[in-house]
Amino acid sequence: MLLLDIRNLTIELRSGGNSIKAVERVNLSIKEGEVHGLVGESGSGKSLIAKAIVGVLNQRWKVTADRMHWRGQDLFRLSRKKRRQILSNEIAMIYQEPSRCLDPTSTILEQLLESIPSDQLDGNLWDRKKQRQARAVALLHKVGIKDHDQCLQSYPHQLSEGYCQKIMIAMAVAKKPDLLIADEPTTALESTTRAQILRVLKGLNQLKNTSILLISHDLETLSDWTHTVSVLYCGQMVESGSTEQIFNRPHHPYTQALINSVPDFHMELAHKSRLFALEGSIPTLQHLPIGCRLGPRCPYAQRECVKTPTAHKDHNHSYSCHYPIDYSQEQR
Amino acid sequence: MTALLEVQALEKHYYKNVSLFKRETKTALSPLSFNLQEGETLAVIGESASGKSTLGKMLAGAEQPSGGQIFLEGQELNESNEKLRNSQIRLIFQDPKKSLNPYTKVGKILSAPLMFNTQKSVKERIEKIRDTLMKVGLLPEHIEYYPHMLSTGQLQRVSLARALILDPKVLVLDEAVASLDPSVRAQIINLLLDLQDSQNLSYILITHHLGVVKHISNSVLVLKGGELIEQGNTAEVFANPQHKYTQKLLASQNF
Repeated sequence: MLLLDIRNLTIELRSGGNSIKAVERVNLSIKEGEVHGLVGESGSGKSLIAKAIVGVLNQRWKVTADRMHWRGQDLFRLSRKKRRQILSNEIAMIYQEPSRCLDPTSTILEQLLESIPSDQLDGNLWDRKKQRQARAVALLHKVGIKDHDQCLQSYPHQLSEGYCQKIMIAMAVAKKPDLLIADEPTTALESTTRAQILRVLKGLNQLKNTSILLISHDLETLSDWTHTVSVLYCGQMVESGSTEQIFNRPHHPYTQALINSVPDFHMELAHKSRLFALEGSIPTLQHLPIGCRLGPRCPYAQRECVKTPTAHKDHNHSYSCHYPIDYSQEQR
Repeated sequence: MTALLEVQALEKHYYKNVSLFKRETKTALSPLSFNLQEGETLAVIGESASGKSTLGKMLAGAEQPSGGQIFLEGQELNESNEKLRNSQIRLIFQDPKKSLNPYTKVGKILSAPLMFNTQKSVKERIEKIRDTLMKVGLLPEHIEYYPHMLSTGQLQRVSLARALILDPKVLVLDEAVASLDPSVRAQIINLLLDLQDSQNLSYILITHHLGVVKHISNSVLVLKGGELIEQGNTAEVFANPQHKYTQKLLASQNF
């Protein structure tokens, strides 16, 4: 069964008289126990989508969707209170800059204790206090922090960015969520810490069957452990499908450009040869092109591209492009 | 043939006064030596707090080294010839949005180094700025733009132009490539490679993105906690890492 099922999610920003569609008709579905990658460059609206799911966008943004189902329940039809309850118990989110998201005025212990829900504990007041402490230590062990005593007594500024990120994950998994939304969990970290964090997330997925929505701007981090990937460009979903489909047979020119622009993927690339790069730069929100938003930068763009393409579907692999890359001739 | 840049036993210590008579020494960089040939790229890799940025800053003259010497084309660089160093070794910062003054136009940003380092007249300066902007793939019209009017990729080009405007021999790129978005990053890497071909520039690339290192660098330094632990030709080091730390670093990137 689908855990999260979103159809035609549109997020608009009202400014002055007109409204700007920062995210336009995005579909997203996550199965139980699945790791879903959401890739896009800065300004493509990936954080907006995550915030819209958790419902923390402020009043200036208008969120509409044809449907937004959580385990078959339409979130938009529920009362505000009920919706809040479901979201806080079953969805957890990790934010981008961990050291800035933790409270600088209290110790890690206080913050961790706060995030442990009371319905997981039993017994009298004294027992509960002890259990809470034990849970906090257990949570730290789970995310791979061994020197828990020192860590619990520290303030966020005394710890490294990698530690802070692990603590954020510990706080997020305290409620045993079904879906963990990780908004660029590794961008601020260097490569060895990044590998540790990804290992922790991978472990959660495999041992607890937690679904993860992993948001990233780099395809590399996603390539080896996500099950499905969606690629966003300027608020439009350009392609989504299983990881193998996306990496081996990208149908959309943008996905292909993303894969080709990273020097890691093709080992046979000659030293110091020129990389494949799209012309131009990412348009700003005020100057979004009409139709397919990749249009002005796309090497295959033609007249028809001023109309918004509809999504083509082929074995769970959907792509919205008028002139997708054709692999049929290659097969013959 | 002498190397373009020769560094001998360069080191950096920070001092902290603990009490009136006692002070603590913290070593940011233990003595290290390397050579850089013209038209080549040297990559410096390592975790944060490994002394990568300190090395870059000392080369560009933003920090005074505690010991050791730097030679540019056989000439020692010290306080007496600071002008030479400032125009020949240029630093590019990580975040172009933060390293460019939001209150000044691109033209003014670019003319400042010319005013301080050359005797050019106003007309010559404008000519030079136009040339440099064209060289990095921008238009002469961009002189009248403020930084917020440009995209991140264009801003990184402006900071590149600011570095190139004095016709330097060495560019120090402190995380200037890896922090960009993938499609913009590919553009900037291509631009850097083109400039290296046409002007015979040398780069010192400080980054933690090993894919980029592998692709564009000739030799590599691996730092850990201020110590140089491995040094050599990039292809050789990556194919056959000797030190345990280098092996771990390479494994973490799943090639």
